Amino acid sequence: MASCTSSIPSGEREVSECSSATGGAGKELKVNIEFMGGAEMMFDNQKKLNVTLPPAECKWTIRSLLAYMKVHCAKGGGLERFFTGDSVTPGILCVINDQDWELLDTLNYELEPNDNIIFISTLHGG
Amino acid sequence: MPVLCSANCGSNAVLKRPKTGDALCKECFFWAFETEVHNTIISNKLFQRNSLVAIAASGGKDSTVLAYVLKLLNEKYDYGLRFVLLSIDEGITGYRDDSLETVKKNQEDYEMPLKILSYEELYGWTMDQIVAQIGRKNNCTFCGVFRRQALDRGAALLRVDCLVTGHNADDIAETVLMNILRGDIARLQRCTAITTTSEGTIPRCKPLKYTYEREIVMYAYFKKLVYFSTECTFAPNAYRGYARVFLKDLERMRPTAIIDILHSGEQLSVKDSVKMPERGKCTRCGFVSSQEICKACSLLEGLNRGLPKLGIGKKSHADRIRKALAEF
Repeated sequence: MASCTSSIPSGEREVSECSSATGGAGKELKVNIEFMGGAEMMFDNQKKLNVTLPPAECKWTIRSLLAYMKVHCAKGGGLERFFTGDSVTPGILCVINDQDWELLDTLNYELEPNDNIIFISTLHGG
Repeated sequence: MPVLCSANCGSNAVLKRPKTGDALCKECFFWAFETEVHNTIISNKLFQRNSLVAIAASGGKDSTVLAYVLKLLNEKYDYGLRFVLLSIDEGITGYRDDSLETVKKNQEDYEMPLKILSYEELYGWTMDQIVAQIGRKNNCTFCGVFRRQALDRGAALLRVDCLVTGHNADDIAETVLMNILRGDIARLQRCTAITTTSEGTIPRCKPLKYTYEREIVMYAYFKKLVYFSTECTFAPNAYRGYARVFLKDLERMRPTAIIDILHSGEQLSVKDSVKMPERGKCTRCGFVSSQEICKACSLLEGLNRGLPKLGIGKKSHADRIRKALAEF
């Protein structure tokens, strides 16, 4: 199981006046990421990642998680086929704690500690 | 904040259906998914009682879900069918050899006999050898044409009444787009048919024709079905890839786009005055073909003569090469 830690110093940071800065904000946040259906091939065949997100001023969302992953977890080729703009490439599904992200406001979903986030590719064939 | 299932069953929804926008719980989704496939089978009269049905199985998500759902529906609604899995080994190292292991697992899980036919035994060439000879352009043409015929031959060999494939709504919408872009009116008209029959061949049908790829993947995920997913090592250059990317972009903007394109394709009618290629039989192998010599035989001739371009492109081009060879 691979881990993916930040190169950003994770010292105490002041919480800004960001309105949604409650709960997880200002502390480290651990989430579990899993790749399925071929999405793992875009991450050097890693099936699981345990990510410790550094303290942030605002709450972490799927959007900021993806931006973080792009910088810190991206390995191997094919990444342009995983990320498109600030989202995942159309055809890659996201399931958060066994729920379709479409029910959870997709990119705006606010991460909670120990969330299980699964990216499933529908783009890979048999 | 949990979203409740649109079916008012009281459970929390786990997904949003792209086709309808409904939020459904796991059980209601399974029910909707399976019932839609059942309705497709019944309203199109896909099967007759006591038939032997071959399932084209690659070990991928579509054929795995197809085998699972057909077994389930056959028991639930007593279709009275028997199934056999038919797999084609194209001879692609690191791709098909791995996925065939998954098919062997399907065989045990679903208690269906399995027949594997290889390109090597049918044509004398593996895809690895073909690519070594022709390079990475047009290789998908060889593979697609050979596989189509290999499935027909396998179905004949197994003496089945019908062959089912795992083509889903996304696949068919992609094909509609490709045929529009290529201006292939004959295929555009045929490609949305749920059952295709032609003289001398075994009928083929697509029970997942109206099923979204996204839902197939979600179904497999929530049912915890094991399938093999990879990318063919030779595939990135295929034309289909462009249609696929375009379609997925459309789906994100408007999820009904896939079924809309499929329906448009179905509604399309071609004037009687438009001249269509006549479909006859290949003079060499006897399989259905709109040319005197079918595509598979042309491609094979090209390979065996060391002129791999013989079967690629227009027939007039191949005729010119053949004529030149005859004069030589």
